[in-house]
Amino acid sequence: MSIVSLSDSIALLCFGLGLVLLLLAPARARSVGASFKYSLAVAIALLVFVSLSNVLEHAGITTALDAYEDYAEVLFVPLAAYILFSRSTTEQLAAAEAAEEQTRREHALLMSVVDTAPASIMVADAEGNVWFANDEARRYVEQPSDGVSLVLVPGLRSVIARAVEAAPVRIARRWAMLDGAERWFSISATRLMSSPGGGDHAVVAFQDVTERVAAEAELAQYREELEEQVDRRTSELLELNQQLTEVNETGQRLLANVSHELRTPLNSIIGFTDLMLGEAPGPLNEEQRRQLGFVNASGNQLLTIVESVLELSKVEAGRGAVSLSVAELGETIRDVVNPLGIIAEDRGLTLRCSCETALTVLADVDKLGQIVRNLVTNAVKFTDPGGVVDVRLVTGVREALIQVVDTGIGIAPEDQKRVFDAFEQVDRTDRARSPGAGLGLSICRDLCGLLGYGLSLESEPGVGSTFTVHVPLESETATTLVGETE
Amino acid sequence: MYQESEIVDLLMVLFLTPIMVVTYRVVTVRGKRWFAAAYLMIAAGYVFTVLEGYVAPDALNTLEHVTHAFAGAFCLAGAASVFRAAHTEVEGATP
Repeated sequence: MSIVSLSDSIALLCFGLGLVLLLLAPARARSVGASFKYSLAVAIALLVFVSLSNVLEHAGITTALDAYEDYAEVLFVPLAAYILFSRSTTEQLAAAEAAEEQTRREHALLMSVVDTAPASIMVADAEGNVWFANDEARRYVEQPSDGVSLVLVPGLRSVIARAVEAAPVRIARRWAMLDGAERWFSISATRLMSSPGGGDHAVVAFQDVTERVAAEAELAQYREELEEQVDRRTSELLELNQQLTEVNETGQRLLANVSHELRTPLNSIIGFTDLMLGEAPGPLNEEQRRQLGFVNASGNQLLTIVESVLELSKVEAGRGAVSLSVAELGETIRDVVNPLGIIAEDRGLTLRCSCETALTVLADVDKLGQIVRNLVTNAVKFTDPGGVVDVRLVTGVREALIQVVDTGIGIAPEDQKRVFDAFEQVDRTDRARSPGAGLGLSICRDLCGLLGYGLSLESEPGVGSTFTVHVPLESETATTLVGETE
Repeated sequence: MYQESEIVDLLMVLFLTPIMVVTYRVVTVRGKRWFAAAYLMIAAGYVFTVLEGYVAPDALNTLEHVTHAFAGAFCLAGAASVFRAAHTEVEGATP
């Protein structure tokens, strides 16, 4: 077999198979299409015919088809061109339809959004002609007698003219409505780049803010009135405070003077009763000694109260100046607690002091001593014989704790705040009111406040109380001194 | 010598092919490269047919038939590609 015959056979076979495959391809597939499929099939059929003619001719069977072969070849090229162009046109048409559908959907969506928006949106030109207005915007435009065209109210024309000529506009403006009423509007306008009709247009969005502007004005007025009222009340309070301060100072001065005046005759009473009890003027009988003892004890008690009142008035008047010095805390506490052991023994109590921890601080030794003394005296006073009063020094990272723990009568929760008030003593149903003016804890509280210490109380009726003084170690000096001691 | 129909074929190839090349770029047909190759083989065959009337008649005649064989092979590949794509699209799977 020659190359020509072989080539013709291959061509016939391939074109034939191609034609069969093409005819078997589903025409409903969008990638094929009936028009494309069948026109291409005709073109391939022409080539099948040409190949068949060649095979038959070169095989020496017949040359009958040769006469028609030229027609087939002449038809082939224009048919191929037709297939290509029609396919191209079909695809462009489909693309145009898809684009149109997409545009229609987007336009419908945009119109829904624009018409639903609470703001008024319109497109207008500088001459006041409205090209588009959403439902909200139509309330604010004039509609001439033709019932179709829309015209801007004069107030908006200047805004649009500015937006068309220059940069985007964002302003608040008041203008007259079609019914003559004046309202405030917040307006934004931007020049439209691709204008309908080719002229200069702007897209304008505006909103009626009359209620908001009115509310802001009302709020501003309220604010001014409120400020005036606050100023007036502040002046009244300052004046009242001044009056109260003066009254308080007068009262404290009176209290201090009365206390001072009482101390002199009291010292005389105590001194002379001491002399008489020492039988300096002459011997006493038993009844005289008993009665003079009462006078002496009462005088001493009264003197203690007067001195407490004086101390309290000094602290409250701010005259208790703080005098800081380096002190060993445990030693300071021991110096105060040890002498009170005799009083505790007289009452049948055990007074312990667990203050061996070495801790050096910067403190006012006298005032700190007075705090501890008052707390211990208070504990001794309110603990029944056989009880224990324990004074402890506990050191932490940020503070040292001075705790006065007793096994006394305890304080009910509802009374715990009250015990620090001046002249207050917790009522006791099982015993007589304790001696003293109820000033010790009040003085402790004020002194702690003066020194920057904390004072806390934990107590349970019938079990005992724990008063804790919180001495801060946060200052640089205190920290350094603690380090040196260690 | 040449025949009139062969000259007509050649002229149509020369006029239409450049326009078809421009259009060819924008259409999206599966296996269009195979069909384009087949078309070019057929066009080349037309050229050889005319030329064989002037020079090397035997060789150019052989070439003409060989290009037809190649055109058939390319056309078969293109038709197979269209067949596969159509079935994939319709049935969602390659047959």
